[in-house]
Amino acid sequence: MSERIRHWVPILPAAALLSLAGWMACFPNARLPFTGGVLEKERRGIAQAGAELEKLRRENRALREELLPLERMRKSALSLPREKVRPALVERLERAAAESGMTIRSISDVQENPIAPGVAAYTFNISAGCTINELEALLKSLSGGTPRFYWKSLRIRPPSPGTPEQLQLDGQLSVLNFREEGEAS
Amino acid sequence: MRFDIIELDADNLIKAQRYRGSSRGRSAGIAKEDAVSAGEPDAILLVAWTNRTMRYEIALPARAGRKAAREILYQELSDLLPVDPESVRWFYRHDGGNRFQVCAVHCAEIERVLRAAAEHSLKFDRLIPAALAETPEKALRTAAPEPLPAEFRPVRFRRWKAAYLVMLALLVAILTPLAWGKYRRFSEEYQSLNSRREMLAAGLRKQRGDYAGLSAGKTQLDEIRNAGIGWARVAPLLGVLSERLPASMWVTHFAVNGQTADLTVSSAEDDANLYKTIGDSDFHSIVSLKKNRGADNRILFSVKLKGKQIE
Repeated sequence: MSERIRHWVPILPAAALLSLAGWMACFPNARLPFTGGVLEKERRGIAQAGAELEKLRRENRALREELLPLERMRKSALSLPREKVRPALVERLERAAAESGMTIRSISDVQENPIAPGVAAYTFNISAGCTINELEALLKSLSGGTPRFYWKSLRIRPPSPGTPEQLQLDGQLSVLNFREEGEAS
Repeated sequence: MRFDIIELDADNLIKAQRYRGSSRGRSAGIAKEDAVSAGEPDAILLVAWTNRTMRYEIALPARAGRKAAREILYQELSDLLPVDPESVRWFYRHDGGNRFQVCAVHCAEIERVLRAAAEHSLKFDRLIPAALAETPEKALRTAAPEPLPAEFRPVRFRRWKAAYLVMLALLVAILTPLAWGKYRRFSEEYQSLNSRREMLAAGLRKQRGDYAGLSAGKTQLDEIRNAGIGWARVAPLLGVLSERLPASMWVTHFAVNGQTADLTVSSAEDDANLYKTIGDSDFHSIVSLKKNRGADNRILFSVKLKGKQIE
């Protein structure tokens, strides 16, 4: 450092402090230097986070509404370990048939069909003969109770043209089972 | 300027004298002044009588700048000296034009002079060998390229410096609480914004977690819908049909396959409004209706219905 500059060095703290004092006197309500930028950055961050939060809330709200059917399905579906599904289905079907007063001629083997992680559909065929009243009672029982039965196929017809009061029912039913996470594999 | 010349003779005796004059104008006069009435001098020169001293007159071949001239002079002096140049301290004086008076004093002599100055507690700005200080004016123009030890430099403006430090301290004492107040205001505002931001960040984390779970649920729902598990609304559909179909009509065949239902309706007479009669409901929409006449003259309507979404 040259001799000329070195002579001015002791003056620098006083000059800096005097400038600071002058600034404080002129702008008593002003913020400290450089702090405005920090606060502004923080406010921008808050605004961005707020906007993002609002957007996510909207999306989640829409998703929740879209998922109401899934919730209804879950409530009306089975939630059993795999080995307990078949006996439960047969028992439920036999109960529905007994309540409606009809006789089920045959029930096929129950097929398991995994359709999503943690969800499987169990499908089986039934065959029965019944009157119109018994059929109505059976259909109501199967679609209204728990678990809910879905008709993959259903064929109702009179066994012969001369016996319209008797009906022949052949159908394939499926039931959803939402398994616990631990056994989802 | 006012300057003091302190003469230190070979016997270490001191004689001081104050002058007024300038080192710039060579022609300007230098006058003696009363030391008591004049106050503090601007410069103090210590003129010392030294042994083992060599003096040369060197004329540079051309005019050179101060720094270049100093380097050339030192080279010339090194060539002229009979001793190692490292063992001497050197001084020079510009005598006008390209002429310089250069003097070299052995370091031992300089040390002796400095010891004597220390004994007498002398403070001075420049040490000049008496060989170059024939007159006060020449002494004032003599330069010493090597700096003097700091302990011999006089301390000037003591009161001003003390006053400066006191005012600086006062300024610091006043400004510190003011700046601290402003900092606290900033800090409080920053803390408030920061806590709000953290609250938003926590909300965002929760919403993102929810979004991940809901997206997984949406995927699950889509997969279930695409799997074609069947139609649960057969009973309500049959209820709607039995309500809407006229009593003269019979459903003679009903088949469901996936989301599609085919039914055959038998009637003794034609009905041009059957399409509208069956219509749509919450559980179905009508796709097509065909009409045939049977062998026994009955009208057979073949109706195709589409079941609405399973849920």
